Amino acid sequence: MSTPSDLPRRIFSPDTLERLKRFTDARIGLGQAGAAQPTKTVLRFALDHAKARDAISSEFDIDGLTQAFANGPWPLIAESAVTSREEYLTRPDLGRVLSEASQDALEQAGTECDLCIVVADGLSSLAVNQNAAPLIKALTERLPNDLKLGTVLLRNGRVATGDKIALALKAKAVLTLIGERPGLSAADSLGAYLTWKPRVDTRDSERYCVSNIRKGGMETGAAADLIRTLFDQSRVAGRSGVALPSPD
Amino acid sequence: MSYSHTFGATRWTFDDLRRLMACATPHRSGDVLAGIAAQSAEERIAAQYCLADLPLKAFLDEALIPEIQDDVSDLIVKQHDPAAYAPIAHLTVGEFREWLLGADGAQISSIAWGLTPEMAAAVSKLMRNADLISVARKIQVVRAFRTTVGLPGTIAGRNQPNHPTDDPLGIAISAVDGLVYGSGDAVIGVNPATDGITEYIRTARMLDELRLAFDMPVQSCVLGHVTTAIEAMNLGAPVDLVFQSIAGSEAANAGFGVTLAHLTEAQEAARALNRGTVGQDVMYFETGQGAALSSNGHHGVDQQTMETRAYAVARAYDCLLVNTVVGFIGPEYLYDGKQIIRAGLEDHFCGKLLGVPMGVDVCYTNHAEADQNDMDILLHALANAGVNFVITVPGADDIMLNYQSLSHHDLAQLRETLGLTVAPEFAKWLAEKDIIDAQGRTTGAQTWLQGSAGHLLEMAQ
Repeated sequence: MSTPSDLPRRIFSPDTLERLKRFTDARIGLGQAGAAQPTKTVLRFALDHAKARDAISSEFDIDGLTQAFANGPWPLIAESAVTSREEYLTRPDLGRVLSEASQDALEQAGTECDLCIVVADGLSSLAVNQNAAPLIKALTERLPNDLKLGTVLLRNGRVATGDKIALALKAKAVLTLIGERPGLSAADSLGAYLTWKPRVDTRDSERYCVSNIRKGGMETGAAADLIRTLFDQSRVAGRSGVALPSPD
Repeated sequence: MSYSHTFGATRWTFDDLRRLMACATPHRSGDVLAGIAAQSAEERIAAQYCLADLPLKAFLDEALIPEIQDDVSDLIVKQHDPAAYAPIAHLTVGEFREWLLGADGAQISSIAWGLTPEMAAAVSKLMRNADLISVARKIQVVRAFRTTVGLPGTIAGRNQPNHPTDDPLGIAISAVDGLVYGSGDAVIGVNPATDGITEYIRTARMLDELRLAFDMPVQSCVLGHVTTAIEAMNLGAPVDLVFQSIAGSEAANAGFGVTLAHLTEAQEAARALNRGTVGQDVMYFETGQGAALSSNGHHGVDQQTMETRAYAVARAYDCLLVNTVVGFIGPEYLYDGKQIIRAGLEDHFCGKLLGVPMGVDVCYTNHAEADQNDMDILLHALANAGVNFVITVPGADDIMLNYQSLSHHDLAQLRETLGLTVAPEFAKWLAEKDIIDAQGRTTGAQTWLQGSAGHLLEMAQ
């Protein structure tokens, strides 16, 4: 009778398993203790889930992110109509609109700009805290020098909240950097959504999306290159996304 | 017509049947999001009192969604069988709960076509979790293709070997990993990352080659869109089961890009291939509470009732498998483990009551307030309720859809704990290959697995 720790070897020899694992990241060949999983793989799963849970409740580091704009323009601070993290998760409709105070403040700021960069916590502040500053630095190095930028830090925001910000600021386009839903393999993925001429009812298909921006995923330099390319395409075409504009 | 109930000095009034059902349903974040949930716990119980006194007949007199607006409502009216309904025609919803608790399985199955989905949803709202388990357990819905699924004393597994880039070898390796733990007797079913015809046919061919190479009595399915499946069949692809996500209204089905005519065409095409050995149940549907609201096709009806209406669509076809993807949709519809567990038991109960071969994807996302312990409770409750099948993936981690379902181990451990077995045709194959012993324990399957691993590595080269 083998001990539980022998079972993975009984199932696939270590050499075979390593070769098969090259073809999938699935948790194959875990072995068994009785019918259940060995202790080691149960704990590994628990750790990955714990990281994802912590990322969802992580604090949005507004002070730290403000430093990312040390060379200007100084970011405005805004919040969605959501008032708690629980409400954020259960009321996506409130997360997509600005609070009255933020709506008023942004309208009064009235900084007309070519591109507004919105940094939103989304479902992972961890992703934003770690990746937004280096991405913004890489982006500002690549975007045209004469481009008039606006910047906003948005708490409890969703992708569509960026459209409302752009409208309040009279921005021609909006780039929303937002924490993606944490997975078991990565809890710190940042998403970037570029929307040209946003409206209150912009469809998701009218945005360009660059996802999985993180160390070990898409590196910030490569993401900034891609965003610059998409920005140029949008400026030439006068629209973003894959959908054709409706005839009017 | 309005409905009311009085507690002491407080009179609670509900404007119509739709409002009454929405207020009576157990608390659900999706109904709050839709703005139709009861405003207080007491209002919810007042609605349940009203519902308990309501004659079942009220659901034949007052449509929640008029059939002139909706082809699912039209289907529900056409399905209603007055003869099957006769034994319960005189009952209120509250009395119907008591009838179900006292009846045997044959009596319950005999009224299936007399029930509308709304009647099933209504009675479930008055039932505690234990009622949902004990009544569902009495009902058998047995279907067959190359295996027989739903026999008493068995629980089947859908082996779900998804891969983020649809890599054929990656899928095959993951499928074999599941077979080692005895999962795959419901289906080996892959959600394609790309819903293209080329990817569909490539994956269908690979799964069929795997079945033939290992001489397995299993069915496979690529969970692409039904129109892709029809195109693939026209091009000669080896399609066992046709998949489609469905919902409880015409508008919500339009959100999935599907009509009832598509489903009929697909079923005819799959049956014509005549690929089943012990049966010809060729359809596989997935459903889930919240789907109708997410496509704005809910007509102000609560999400549990909308879900039950999807079973009217399912039972119009020869399904081998139907499962609710209960926790996949996220916390804005089912907030936590408590809501997911309740919804899973409701969906299984209502499906079985209407004669649907019901399984459940016991699952959750990382932003839901849930974890593996909640899934353990739901799995064991569903096994007690006699669920036909569950979905399993390596280590509970679906690396393509990025959510957590059960692990293959969870199913193996459940079978061992409760003395449940696999589908008989698959059990025979597992025994022949020495993967599972006579007591139903996985053996580690050294010999077979070393052979198949070698086979997979040959495929790689």
